[in-house]
Amino acid sequence: MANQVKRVDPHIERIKRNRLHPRHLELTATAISMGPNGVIRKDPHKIGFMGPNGIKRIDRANLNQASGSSVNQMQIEEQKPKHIIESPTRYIVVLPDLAAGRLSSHDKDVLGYAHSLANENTAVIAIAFGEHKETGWQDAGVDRLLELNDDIYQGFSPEARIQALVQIEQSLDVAHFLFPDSIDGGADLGRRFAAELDSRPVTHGWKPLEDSIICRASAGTQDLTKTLSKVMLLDAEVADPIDETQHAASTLDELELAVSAKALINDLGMLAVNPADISLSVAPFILSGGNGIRDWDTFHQAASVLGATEGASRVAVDDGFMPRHRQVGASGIWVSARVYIAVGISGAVQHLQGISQVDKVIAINTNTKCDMIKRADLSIIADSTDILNALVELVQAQEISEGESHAA
Amino acid sequence: MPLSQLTTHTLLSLGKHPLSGRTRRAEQDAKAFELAAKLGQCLGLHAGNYQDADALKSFAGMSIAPVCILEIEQSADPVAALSAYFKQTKSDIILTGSQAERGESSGMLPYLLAKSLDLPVINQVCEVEQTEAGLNITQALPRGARRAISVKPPCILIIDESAPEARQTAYGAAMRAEVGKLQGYNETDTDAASFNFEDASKKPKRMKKIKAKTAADRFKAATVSQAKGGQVIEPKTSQEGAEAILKLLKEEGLVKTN
Repeated sequence: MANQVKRVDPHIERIKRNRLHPRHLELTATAISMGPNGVIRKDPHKIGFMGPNGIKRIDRANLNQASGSSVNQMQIEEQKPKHIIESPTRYIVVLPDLAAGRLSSHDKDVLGYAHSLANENTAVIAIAFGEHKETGWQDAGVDRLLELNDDIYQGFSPEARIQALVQIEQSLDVAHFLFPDSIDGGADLGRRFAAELDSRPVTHGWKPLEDSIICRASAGTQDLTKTLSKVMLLDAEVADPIDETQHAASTLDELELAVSAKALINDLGMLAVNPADISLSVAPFILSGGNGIRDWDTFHQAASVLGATEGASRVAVDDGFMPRHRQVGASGIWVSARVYIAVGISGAVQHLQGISQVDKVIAINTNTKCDMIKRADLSIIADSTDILNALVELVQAQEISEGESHAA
Repeated sequence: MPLSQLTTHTLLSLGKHPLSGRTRRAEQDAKAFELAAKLGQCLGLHAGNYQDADALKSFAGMSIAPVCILEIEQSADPVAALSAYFKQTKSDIILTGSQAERGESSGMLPYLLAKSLDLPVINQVCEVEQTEAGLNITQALPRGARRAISVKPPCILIIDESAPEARQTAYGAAMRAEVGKLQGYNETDTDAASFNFEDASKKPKRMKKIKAKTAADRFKAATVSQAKGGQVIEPKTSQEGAEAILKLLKEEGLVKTN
């Protein structure tokens, strides 16, 4: 409301003027106020706190106020300048992998590169095949979003995806199709599409130049400069991700795609894999045990019930409870799991180095001061055997109830 | 169709040792050859110069199948030669590695071949099994996951790193082996003639960017460690602690939600 009238309470104004009034201090204790000339004034007597030596301190950098800093960050996010393209004449299409349903850092780098190729009339389209969980399209630099999650695009469906891309290529003025050159799917789809269009693609592009890009060749041992092509497959860190602008990410719905469901390749679904067979360095879910474990049988049972790959700290391996090839850390294996449960591991520096790539760490420990708890996203302060037993019971109870519901 | 009646071709290329630079068998192609050994009648095929026959003998030394060179000129496109060959000689399965160890190494060959022969192509194959309906293929996905795929031959299969290890090559058998010779179709690859290869330069490490706008923010970024304290729970019962863990595992999709 533009014509909002500022109302003044005359009683409060009177109290503010009367220094002898009992409520005077309460109403005037504002550290920051506007001076008579419209300048913001800070009263140094009213801000700050008492330091440990009895000296008054003013925390100008907000170092000690966790909540205060988060408020500042929120404001910065809101203030991001908007990057809006009303009527684009040209498009750049990015096909993110969406590994685990979210934009990976590789996907974001490719989106960043797309914007380095774009001009003021170019919109960056992201095409999301299949189901996904991503919500941060606007902040990642997506101007238009096309979500294709019909049944024919689910799982491994290269033929349907290529049909859709070819139709998009025919109906829009697309300058480049950018794919992350990764084993999560981009490398395969991009090469299929390049073969379909019969255009020589940029592959393993890693260093953009003005009108060309340096690509890795000879299995990564040589460099080759190629001119920009219609289809480009790009390595990670090809460009910086977008993080200073907010994009529209509006739905692109003027397209009508006619994709036939006929396919020569049939996806029969995912196979059950024994977690113990997965190499520790690539395992997605690791249950790792250390010196704090008293009952190793419970630990092994928990790993098999949860479907986790087993890992161990150096102490557990030295003591002979786990084999050497299960050791996680600087002298063992560097893991890259999505979730890592550290049971009874205090977190030596070497061990924390080994888990630096892990997304989420859960610590179960009795010592609240240990380094692992500082690293962990969730810490449970309790005896490891009790927690693991309770976890096994919970998961088994859930499986039984599921089995009953299926039977009924 | 019983196993023995399937005809398989494995596309072989010359490898390059990453440190010494010495010519060797390409490791992925050796894995593809190993997989082909289980699929009945097979031929190892290399499109290139017959002068490389000595280097290709290490494939013959695996004693799986005969090795043959489809001879083309230095500047010719191997895709065109292979495509012309497979239009005359039918093959049920064509096995390849995912990228060459020399040259452009774009990994496009199997896809271009599939396009010109109009065949389905499947990548990251680690196991192949013959069934009555066709082939059951296990595809290796990142993080140790596996996917089952069925396809009817003829098809092109691209081998994954996680396929079974190739057997060693026997020196004596390799030296005794004869490498066959076929005349290939020559079509000049004009783009490739202008390629200028240089030694790979080192990728720079990405620096952390500090985007502080005020002096206070810069000071804070320089002094305060980015310690993000996680949630700490001191559960009253072990049940409570286990539920907190299970909640996080369900959010990450590692334990099924009911």
